[in-house]
Amino acid sequence: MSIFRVERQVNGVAHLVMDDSSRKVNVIGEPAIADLERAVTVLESDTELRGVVLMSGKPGSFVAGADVNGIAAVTEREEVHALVRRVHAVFGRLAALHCPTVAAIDGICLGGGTELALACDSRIASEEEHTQIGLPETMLGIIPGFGGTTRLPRLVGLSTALDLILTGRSVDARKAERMGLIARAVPAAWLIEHAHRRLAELEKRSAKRRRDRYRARGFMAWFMDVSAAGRGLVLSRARSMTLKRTAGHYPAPLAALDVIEKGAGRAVDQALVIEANAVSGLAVGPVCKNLVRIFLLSERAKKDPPVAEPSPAPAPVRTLMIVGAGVMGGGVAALASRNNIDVRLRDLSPDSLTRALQTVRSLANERARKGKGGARALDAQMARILPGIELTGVRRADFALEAVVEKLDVKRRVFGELEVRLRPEAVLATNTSSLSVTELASGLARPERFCGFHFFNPVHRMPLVEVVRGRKTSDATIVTATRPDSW
Amino acid sequence: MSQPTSWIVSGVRTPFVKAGAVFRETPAYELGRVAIAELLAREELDPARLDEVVLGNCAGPAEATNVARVTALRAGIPEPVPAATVHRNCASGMEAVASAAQRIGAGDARLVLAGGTESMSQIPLLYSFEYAGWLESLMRAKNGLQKAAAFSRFRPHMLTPRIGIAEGLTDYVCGLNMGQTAEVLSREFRITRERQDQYALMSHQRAIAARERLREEIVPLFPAPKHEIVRDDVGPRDGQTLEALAKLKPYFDRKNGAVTVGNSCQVTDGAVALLVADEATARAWPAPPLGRIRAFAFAGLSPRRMGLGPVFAIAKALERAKLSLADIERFEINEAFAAQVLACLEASRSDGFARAELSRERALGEIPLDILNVNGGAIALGHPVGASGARLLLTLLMEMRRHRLRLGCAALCVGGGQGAAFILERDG
Ligand SMILES: NC(=O)c1ccc[n+]([C@@H]2O[C@H](COP(=O)([O-])OP(=O)(O)OC[C@H]3O[C@@H](n4cnc5c(N)ncnc54)[C@H](O)[C@@H]3O)[C@@H](O)[C@H]2O)c1
Repeated sequence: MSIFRVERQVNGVAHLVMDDSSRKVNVIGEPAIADLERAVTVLESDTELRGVVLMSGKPGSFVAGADVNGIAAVTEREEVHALVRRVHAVFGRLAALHCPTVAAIDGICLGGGTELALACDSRIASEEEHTQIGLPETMLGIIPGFGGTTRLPRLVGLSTALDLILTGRSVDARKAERMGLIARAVPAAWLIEHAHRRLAELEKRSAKRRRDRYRARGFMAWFMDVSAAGRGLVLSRARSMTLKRTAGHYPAPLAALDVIEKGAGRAVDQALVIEANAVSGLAVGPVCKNLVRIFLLSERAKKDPPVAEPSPAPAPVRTLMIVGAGVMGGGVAALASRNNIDVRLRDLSPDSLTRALQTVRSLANERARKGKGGARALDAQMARILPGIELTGVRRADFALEAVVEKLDVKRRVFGELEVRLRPEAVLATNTSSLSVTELASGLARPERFCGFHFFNPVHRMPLVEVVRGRKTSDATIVTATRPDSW
Repeated sequence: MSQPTSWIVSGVRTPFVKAGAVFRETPAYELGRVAIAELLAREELDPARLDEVVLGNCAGPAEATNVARVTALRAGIPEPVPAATVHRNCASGMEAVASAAQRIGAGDARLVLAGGTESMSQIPLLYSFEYAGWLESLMRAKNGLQKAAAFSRFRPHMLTPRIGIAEGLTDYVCGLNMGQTAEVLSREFRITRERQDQYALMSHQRAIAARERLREEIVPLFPAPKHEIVRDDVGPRDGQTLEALAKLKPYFDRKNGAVTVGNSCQVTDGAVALLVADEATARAWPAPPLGRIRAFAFAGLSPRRMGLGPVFAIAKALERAKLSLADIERFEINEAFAAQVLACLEASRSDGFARAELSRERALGEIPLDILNVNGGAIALGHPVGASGARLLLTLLMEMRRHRLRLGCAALCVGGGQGAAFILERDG
């Protein structure tokens, strides 16, 4: 079965298209590697070839990463090592191809996908929001082992490489361009044209200078990324910060630091040997196994139907009514408004509303400071919240969440007020920690659309909500609560 | 000319707050967002039912040129609902309702969100054209020599800002600012400083007494950055006295004037949202509609005497409604200046004025103080220029409903020499 297609273009350029027809997104596993070996052989034998564009056949999605199920399954260090070395070999052949290579990235590009792109001489990416490039391996207890730990610092410099690898965060195309991770951020509509243009630019360079590589701009960059003294300082600072953050419980970031330090100054081939040894040990260790398990469980929770098949379709949630703007109500308002949901926030006490709005603002400010959005995004988020002391604007809500004080009679009163105003198909939910959902539902005219929707404190730090089914809660309610198609 | 029936089914407004105070950081589109979203919430209305949004606004924020559209989208009104901003200076809020009524009359719409929004706090200072020209020449300079030459042409006075709000409140054609036009009327109709101050005091006293009533039309705001609730208009002064008013210096003519900041309207931020509907929609409304538009009219006059605009517009609107002044049970006349309102009362009771200026045999009639601006006016409440016209309609309808009255009239004077008037009707 073919995962990589080689499509020869009229201008002497070949498109190397990754498109795994057996999956929704491309992943790098043994089958993909085996097929890439075949495809690279085809490219190597085409001596007329002027250039190669690596791209994805999945619209709006490049490569999601390595096959995490594969990581979960391996137990033998040797097995990991063998696969990693095979990947190193085939990526190395791609890197050494006689003609220039450019990766054209549109959509998610993570882990093994980024490492595949790093094997190319140069990269461009679409500036669309869905394009996110990163190396999240350390979050799964391993290091980028398909050449990423070795190749990234050579492309973006030491400090930027440490930032990306140690945090595991991903960046959009504009940031990637600023970091030097890609050569250019371009509109998705012209991605292929730009890839060809980039190939033409690379063609003009001599074969030895073809690859994009790090060049320190300014003295500070030179000091931190190039000079021995600066590098030592950067590495030791990164090490102490990592130790502080992980309290020594997570070996992967430290291993990444080690591999980067030892690999620096060596030829890529030699550095890859060090990388392979490190990742093989981590991948079979207990920390990696646990992190991978949590990852797979949460992925499954996203996919598995919460009710028996055939499951009803989830209803979209565009407007959320929150009653009670205390600690929890305010937190949920921040979360929802950040995710483009209009929020009607109601409380009897204006002071609670004030505090809730201040919380939302400071969280949004924090995000803006971290470069996510900026002033306009902050303003848009604040404008999605309509605070009020009257119980109005209920009919527009697709979902109403009660987060008032933990008292049965108060909550019952709130449900009564809400129920007569809500549209019949809207979900009514309680954030209660300790009261019985079934008991709270008694007395409701429509107990079937009622459920528990229990957030944890602080909401913005705990990406978890417990959906509690009452005795009469309907499947449709559960589906909408667990999987609204626009939260 | 017969005007088809449009209804004002419901409405709310934000508190009105003196410019530079708690709404300082709240732009016009945020004030408007809250007014609109709260009105939709109160009516439990699906905004997709709206055919259009029309908002009055005068200052035109640079970052939101069609401020009605920005406001509508931020208020959660769906993208397919179009929005227009209208500008007739102080009557912009009425212009919005007039536009809505005309769309409805033409059969182009059944339900329109109309109103006005204004942040006078956020009217910017402007650079002079001279400075802009200099900057441009600097940017075009290619080499050091040209740059040096450009620099040598710089003069510090170029940096003197143009004050947007002051220029906005000055009539370009006659060159008088609004306060000066009030001085013109105070002389023409011989309205003393004492009468003006007494009128101003009454406006404050009425507004203070009306606090609870006004809350019926006000929705609270939680403005950034502190997000503390603002429930009431901040303008009305509980302790206002004649003595305090008498102490103020004339502002527009320091030597011989009578118009002070105390007997003028306040520069204010605020927004108003009304729902204007056709007959069928109004009849099917879940709650009783506020009232209907019997007639409206806009009139023009000399920019120097713009304050008399209401008299001209009321005469025209009454004629269209086939009513006489005596039929009207409540008046709202915007208090741009005490001198200006009092001049309107004089003009409207004068046979001479009627013959000379209104082509009428007899005076328009008496506008009794006890049915005029009974809940206070702009001197106490403030005058966010783009919104006030809609505020008068809302306040008047609420008052008519409170006392089960049938006919009311709301009017404003308009900078640039115009007047606007609406005759509103209820079934009592
Ligand atoms: N705080 C936590 O750690 C946490 C965690 C998970 C779940 N919960 C649950 O969430 C709910 C709210 O908890 P909290 O910590 O946010 O409480 P809180 O005391 O901070 O806030 C409760 C808010 O409800 C308002 N309120 C009371 N009666 C009201 C009414 N009739 N209408 C509108 N508003 C009303 C109060 O003014 C107050 O602002 C409780 O059921 C609690 O058990 C709390």
